[in-house]
Amino acid sequence: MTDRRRINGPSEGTTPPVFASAVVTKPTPTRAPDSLRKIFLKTSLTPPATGSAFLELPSPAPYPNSSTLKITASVYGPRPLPSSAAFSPHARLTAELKFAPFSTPHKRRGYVRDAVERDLSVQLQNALVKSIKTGAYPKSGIDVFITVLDCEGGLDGDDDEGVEVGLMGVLAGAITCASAAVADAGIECVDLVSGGVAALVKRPQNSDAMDTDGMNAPMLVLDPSPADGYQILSAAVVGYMAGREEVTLLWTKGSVGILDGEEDELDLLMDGAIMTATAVRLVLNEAVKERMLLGLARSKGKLKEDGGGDVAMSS
Amino acid sequence: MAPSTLTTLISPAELSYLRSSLALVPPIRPDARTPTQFRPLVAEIDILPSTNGSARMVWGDGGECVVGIKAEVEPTEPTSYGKRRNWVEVGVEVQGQRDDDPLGVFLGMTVGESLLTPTSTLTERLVITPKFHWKLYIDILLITPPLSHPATLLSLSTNLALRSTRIPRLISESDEDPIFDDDWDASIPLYSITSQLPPITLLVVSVEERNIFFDPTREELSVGDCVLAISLASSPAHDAPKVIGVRTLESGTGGIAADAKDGVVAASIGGVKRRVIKRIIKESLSVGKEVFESLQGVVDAN
Amino acid sequence: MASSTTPPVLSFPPQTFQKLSPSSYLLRHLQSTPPIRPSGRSPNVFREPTIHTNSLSHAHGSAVVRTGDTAVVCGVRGEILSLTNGEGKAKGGVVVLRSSEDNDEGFVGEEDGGEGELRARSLIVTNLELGTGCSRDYHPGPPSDFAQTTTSRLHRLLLSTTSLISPESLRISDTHATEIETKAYWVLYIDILCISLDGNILDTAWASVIAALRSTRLPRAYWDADLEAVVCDPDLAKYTGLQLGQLAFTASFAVISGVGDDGKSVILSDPDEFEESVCEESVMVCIKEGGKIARIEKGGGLACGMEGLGECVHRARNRFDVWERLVKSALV
Repeated sequence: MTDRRRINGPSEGTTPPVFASAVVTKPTPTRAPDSLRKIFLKTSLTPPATGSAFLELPSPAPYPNSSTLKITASVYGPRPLPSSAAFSPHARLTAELKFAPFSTPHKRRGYVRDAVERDLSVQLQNALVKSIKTGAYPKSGIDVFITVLDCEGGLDGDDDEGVEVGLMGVLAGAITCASAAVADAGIECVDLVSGGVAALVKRPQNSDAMDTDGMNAPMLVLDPSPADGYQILSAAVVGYMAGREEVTLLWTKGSVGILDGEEDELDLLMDGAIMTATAVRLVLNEAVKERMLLGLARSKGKLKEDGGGDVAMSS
Repeated sequence: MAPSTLTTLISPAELSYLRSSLALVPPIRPDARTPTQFRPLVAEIDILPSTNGSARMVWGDGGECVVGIKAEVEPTEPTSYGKRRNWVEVGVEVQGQRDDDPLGVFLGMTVGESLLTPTSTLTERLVITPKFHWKLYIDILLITPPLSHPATLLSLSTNLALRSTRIPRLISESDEDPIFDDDWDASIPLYSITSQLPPITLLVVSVEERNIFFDPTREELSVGDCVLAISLASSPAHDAPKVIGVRTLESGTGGIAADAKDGVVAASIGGVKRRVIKRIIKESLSVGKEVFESLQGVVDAN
Repeated sequence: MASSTTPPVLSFPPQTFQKLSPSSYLLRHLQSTPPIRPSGRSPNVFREPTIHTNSLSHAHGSAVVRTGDTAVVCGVRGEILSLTNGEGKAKGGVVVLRSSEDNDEGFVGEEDGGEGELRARSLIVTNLELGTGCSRDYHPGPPSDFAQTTTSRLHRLLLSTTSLISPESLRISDTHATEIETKAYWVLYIDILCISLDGNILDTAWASVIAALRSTRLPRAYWDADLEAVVCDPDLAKYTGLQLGQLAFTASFAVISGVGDDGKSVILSDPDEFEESVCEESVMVCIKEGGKIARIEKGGGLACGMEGLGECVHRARNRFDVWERLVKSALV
């Protein structure tokens, strides 16, 4: 069915370019497993919104795997719920995540939200809502809109080859970006939430691990990217409130070993993700602080301006 | 906002009472179950003759779930970017809900994700010849949505349906177009007894760090601190199931927690400590083992 | 009770005044000497734009354009429309399209700048998305009326007004055959996402389309007779840009009437969201290279006469120079 409200492509359908040499060489990891990428996070880039933020994660690998993660978030509210909505004693948070049509490799994405986008939206909502003092805003709605402008790929889903971490990276970025936007909107929170991803990967063959036992044990990678080229056995993303040391969201994929008493794969994975999230939190703090200082400076300036009374009402 | 699965029509006072009784040591559940006890259910398999595998489950509270699985031959595209994930298609229909309902999306994603975990070897078994594979359509119908969250019901029904799924035996050579034996008795089970079993997903809720409840009702979910859907895989060779996926669900946001400090009732906010999550996951392993055993019982009885 | 007390003077802070009576709030600003807009700009001042190109990894070309608080991201992606399978074949073989004989299949020919071919095949797909949380008025979901109108204005500018893209540059031909056959086309999906909306989306969106198209580089595509399919060369050095026509840029104006006692009107360049919501009459001028007027749109009122239009064209020509310089320096 054609979408009559948009301009459509040829009815015969189009295909993404197919390249002659289909030799896809898996990239080899170029950075240390525990190295974290520098995050660019800036608030208030969408002035019409109550609060907004932009997040960018650079690529760890050179071309042709040099894709970045770029996410914008805008927050509206607290604003009155539509009159059709039922009474709510606390604020209702909705999060809507959408990929831009040009944000993913291979196939263009559609304009209508698909199952993956809905799933991520719900997870994001769950991760954020626990940080917001919803009780302070009865009968109100807080709407969070996330647009993924560019992502790192790795969205094709899991198969016998390994787990894909692309969606987890998007979710972690969306959590951090949305939390910054919520803070930018001046909405009361108990803490900020940052997202972090960690993965257990098959140890590369040329690894210089000396002990033979260690050769078979999976290796922990912080902040993994689909462009790194690891064969990922399991991965986890957390939404973490570092101030309260509390987890608001956990999503794992892949088989994770659990032992009694001692440190097992689950601990390794969860601690890794939390470690990443804690590091991300520092960036989040800076972005929010920067904004606060700017806001203070501005409100001082504004007072002066208002005192001047540039227009008179009396006429 | 999408209608929440946790929308409860009980008052703050009732929620507070419920939470207090669940927080007791030992806890008291409204239906007097022990924390790890499931509600009674009736299960049967091979109920739909025109499918490759099927199962039906009826929960005590009236929830009913039917799962039908069909396998179709599909050519394997050599240059397709889409990976083997597309070999399994999960459709969830919740009666009375739109098909883009978040609940249906969540359930479908959970089932799909747990089936295709890297250690599942499912896609390997779907390969017919280098040029063809089976495409699995798993259609899940929640006829009467249960009063509680349907994740557990749905996951157990799907597990049974997959275990009853049989695919025709290939009689042609691997380089020819596939031809199959039309004798249904000669067909091969998709999950043989010796291979890894299909996964299950358990819904677990924690209240006040110390108490963990399995198969929670809707009311119990709305006063919980943390709700996790834990997917487990098991093979008869290993006696302990393995965790293959964890997802966090909405919890407590509609609920009310009694704030001991100032004696007022406040909306519960904040996450949970990581040790709570660890405990939930660990406990689900032992419960999961029992669930796998009872499912085996259903299969053996048929 | 004393009745001699003077009635209390009603006074509001400016923000309240703006909400209560938006049009008189704007008028009071414009009546001051020199006239100043609520944003602090003079009536003839446009907002300063910035352009960044090729910042997206999965688009063939892209641009981020920001003018004041209006910001858009435009991504161009090429996909292949194959004529040999599906409908193309059913319609009776491969269509032969050579520049001299474009009249096949009812194409009007070269004099329309290839618009017929582009339209008939839907080779250019322009869409503007406002449901990104860019403003509190637009929500995710089906595009609003405003988004649909703006999309079709952009689409018309691209196809008819400026004839920026020639169909030749999108054809993929079988070069080995004796007769040159068009086997497939590149279809350009131009998606414009508004990240932040503070009025005058058209000028910013259009500039982003121009910048993104200029930054677009498509892989070399050729017809592989053995595979019977279009195959692309992964060699980056063989990626080529689009052959684009002359540059053109738009400038939008809001006309506010009744500013002076004599009913004099004021023309505001590059109106922001507040000014757009108050004004009734608007003018858009599209200027092509060499100061040529490619299109004028005017509607909503009668205050702007010939003199006013002349002023708009004058300002639009100056604005063209700003955009031109910026777009050319964004792509080195």
